[in-house]
Amino acid sequence: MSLLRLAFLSLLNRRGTAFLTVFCIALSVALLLGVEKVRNGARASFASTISGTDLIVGSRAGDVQLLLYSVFRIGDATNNVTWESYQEIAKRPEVDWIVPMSLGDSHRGYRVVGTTPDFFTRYQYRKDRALRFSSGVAFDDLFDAVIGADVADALGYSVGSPLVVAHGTASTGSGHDNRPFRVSGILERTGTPVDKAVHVSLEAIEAIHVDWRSGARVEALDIPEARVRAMDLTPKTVTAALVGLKSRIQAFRFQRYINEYEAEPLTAILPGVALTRLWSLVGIAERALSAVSLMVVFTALIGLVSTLLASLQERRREMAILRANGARPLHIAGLLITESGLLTLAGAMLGFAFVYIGLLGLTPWINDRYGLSLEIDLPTAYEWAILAGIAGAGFLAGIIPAWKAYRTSLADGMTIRS
Amino acid sequence: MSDDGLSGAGNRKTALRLENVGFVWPDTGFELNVADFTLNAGERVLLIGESGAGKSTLLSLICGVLRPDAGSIHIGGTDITALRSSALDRVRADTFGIIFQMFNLLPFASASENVLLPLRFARTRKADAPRDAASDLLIRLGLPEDAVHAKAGTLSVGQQQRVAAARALIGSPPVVIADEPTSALDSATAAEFMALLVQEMTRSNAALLMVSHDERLSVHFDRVVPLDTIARSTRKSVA
Repeated sequence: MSLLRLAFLSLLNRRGTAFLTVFCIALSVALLLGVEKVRNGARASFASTISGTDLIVGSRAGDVQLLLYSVFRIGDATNNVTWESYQEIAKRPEVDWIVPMSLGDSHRGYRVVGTTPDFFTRYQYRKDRALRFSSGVAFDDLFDAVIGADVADALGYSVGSPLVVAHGTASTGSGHDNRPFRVSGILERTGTPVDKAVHVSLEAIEAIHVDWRSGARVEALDIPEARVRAMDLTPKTVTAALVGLKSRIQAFRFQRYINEYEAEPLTAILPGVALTRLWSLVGIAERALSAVSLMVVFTALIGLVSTLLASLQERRREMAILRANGARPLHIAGLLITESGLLTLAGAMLGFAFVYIGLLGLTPWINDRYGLSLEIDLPTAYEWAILAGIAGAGFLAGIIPAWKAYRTSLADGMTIRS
Repeated sequence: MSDDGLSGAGNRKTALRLENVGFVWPDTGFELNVADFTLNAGERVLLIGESGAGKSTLLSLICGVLRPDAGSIHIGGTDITALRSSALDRVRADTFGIIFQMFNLLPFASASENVLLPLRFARTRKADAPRDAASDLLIRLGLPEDAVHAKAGTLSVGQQQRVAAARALIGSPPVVIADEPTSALDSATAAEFMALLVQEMTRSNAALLMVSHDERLSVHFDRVVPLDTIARSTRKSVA
């Protein structure tokens, strides 16, 4: 009978504690691999928050700052782009399409984005996914709004619901309550900041500000809505613009053109590059998450050692039998290391199964609910390395109880001495 | 000493010999001294002694599990007291088959796996064991065929004793040590077991050293040795 079979039979004989140990290791391995999958998914989702856009243009700022306020709607622009510059850029022969964005207002904590209907056809995420309406349509009227899925869920809005835009981004900002909007469409969930935005037309942004001067509403003006609708609502500035080029290889040259734009200081960023840079800044959280998972695995391995050590006392008879039949102390130590390795391997494999069963069952829901780009694919080389590392650590962890068993079996010999 | 490692003694070879062996348990102060004891190859010897007389200590010394404080123990022609621990383990694995009073089987392994266990660790006994040795031996010792692959923990006391005997005999070790192997059996089962054991011992020509307090077993042995005629035991107070 080989040591492997002996270890297997002995573990089977203690199947209760063995199962708990395996389960414990399996959960920790599942957590580690699960975190790894989610981490990769989050990174992939983050990196594809915006795609299909070659450049983002805004006033002179750092590339991360421009990305934050134009895509993630975090923070504010320090300056705007004049409409003349925007028009000039739009007319450049390299430009295939351009979508302006005007930011600065909000609705109950959600940022309001002034844009054109092109936004809904040009904005892409996760490589080539386009925005889709779960209900309603894009702007049909000056005071129509298209809301993201999170806004609709959180505020209970449906097509036709009225909403009032507040001036500024603070939740306490005074409102444009004299120019209420109506929800004309609700977008499907994307897992991007689009879900948390209220989209209105650029003209609507102008319209709600016609009776505002220096950041405050002038009650005396109180221009009737019919007159507002008849006004020229061409914006004087925009906050940023998404640009698609006819040829992607022109991106760097066009970026340089924007960055050296003479009429006003502007910045153009490549979204992919800026996203990667931003991820490297926020990536410390993912590393912390991985570290916690590794600690959980470490804890499970300590549990494994404890279980094996605790079992030694009740197994002294078994060891004495083996010794009486010719087993040397090194055989006993080998048996304990084999058991430890078997438990860890079984735990790692079960953990693997947990992760993939979980992915099979939950991926569609997670993708839909959280917009995480989780993929059910074969384990990566890194994941294999993690598993091999855990299995190796399991064998190494067996050395501690093996050493104790070695010493005990030397002292006990064929008879157990208490 | 003969070429095969067994030393001659008249027309019989010596399987094991103890000379002026002394041992003291440090924790209890129990002391055992054996002036001279010889077990010849193929000989069957019954050691009779009361409980606490030092029978188990003597067996542990003979098997090399305990090292004597004085004297020498020869297995075949080798003084095992001079061997290193690993060499001693090998000698024990190759030389002795041991039957315990409480059988000491691995309850989670099958009867045949228990029998084959010593071959996992021995070198010379492995070579002596034919392919189906375990099953053949178990059946010859009276174990029902359907019990051969049953878990040892599920067998009756009598069946477990047969498995323990088969385990000691597998691979034809030169010496079989038996520590009160019939004490847990009723008299009829004990008699049947002894008859089968002696039959197998004759077949393998191994020496048998059995300790017991049951003098009725003496009919199965070449020699009966009262422990107090070869060994002196005393219990000193420990400071």
